[in-house]
Amino acid sequence: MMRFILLACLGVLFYLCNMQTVFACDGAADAVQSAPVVVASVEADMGAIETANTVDAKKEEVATPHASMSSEQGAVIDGGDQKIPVETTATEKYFDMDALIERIKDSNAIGMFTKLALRSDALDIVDLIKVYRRQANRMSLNEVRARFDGLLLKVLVLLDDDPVLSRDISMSREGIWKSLLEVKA
Amino acid sequence: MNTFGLAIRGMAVALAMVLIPSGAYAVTKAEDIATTIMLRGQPCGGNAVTNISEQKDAAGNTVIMATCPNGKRYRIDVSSGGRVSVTPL
Repeated sequence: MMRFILLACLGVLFYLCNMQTVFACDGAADAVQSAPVVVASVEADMGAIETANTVDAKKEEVATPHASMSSEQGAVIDGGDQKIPVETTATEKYFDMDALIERIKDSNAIGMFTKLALRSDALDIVDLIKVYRRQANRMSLNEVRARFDGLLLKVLVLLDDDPVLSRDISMSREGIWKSLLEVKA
Repeated sequence: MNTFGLAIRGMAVALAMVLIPSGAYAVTKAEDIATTIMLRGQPCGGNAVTNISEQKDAAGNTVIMATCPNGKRYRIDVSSGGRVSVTPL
C-alpha cells in the first residue's frame, strides 16, 4: 500500500512538472510571437518621433499650426504640404481600446479611487495634446509622450496583481498612444 | 478510511490546488485611498490609511479625509466629473 502512495505522489509530481513545462512553452511562444511586433512597434515609434521632430522644426520656421494627426489604418500625419505615412504594426490591427478600458474597469487589482486618479491623469494628457495642437505653449510632442510613458508605467506597476492585463497594456502601448493622438480637439 | 482513499483524496487536493486559479486580490478602501495619495505624489509612509471619513454633497462631489501611517492627514476631492485631487491638511 505504501508503494501505491509513493506512486501516487510521483504521479502528482510528474503532472506538476508537465504543467510547468507547458506554461514555460506558452510563455516562450508568446515571447517569440511578440518579439517582431515589439521591434515593429519600436520602429514605428522611432518613425513617429522623427515625424514629430520634423513637424516641430517646420513649426519654428513657419510659426503656423499645421500638425494634425489622423487615425485610420495607414495613418497619415499632415506635415503641411507633404503627407507622411505612418506604418501600422501587427499589434494595432488587433488593438481594441474600448475592450482594454473595460478590462481595466473590471480589474480588482486597482481600487476605484485609484482608477479615477489614473483617469484624471489620462484626461490631463489628452488636454496636453489638445494644447500642443493649438500651439498654445512650447511643449513638444516628445514631452507629452514622456508624460504618457510615465502614466503607463504607473498603470503597469499598479496592475502587479493582474499580470495578463498588464502584459496586454504593455503590448498595446503604441496603440494607446495613437488613440490619445486621435482624440478630437 | 483506508490508505488508498487517503491517497486519492491527497491527489485530488493537490490537483485542485494546481488547477483552480486563486481569486484575484481585491484592494481594500484604505489601500485604495493610500495608493491614490501616493499616485498624486504625496508621501504616505504605508499602503493603507486610517480614520477615513467620507462626505458627498448634492452636486455629486465627494470629499474624503484620511490619515496616512506617517501621521499626515489628507483631503481627497473627487469631483462629479471624476477628477481627483489630493491636498495635505
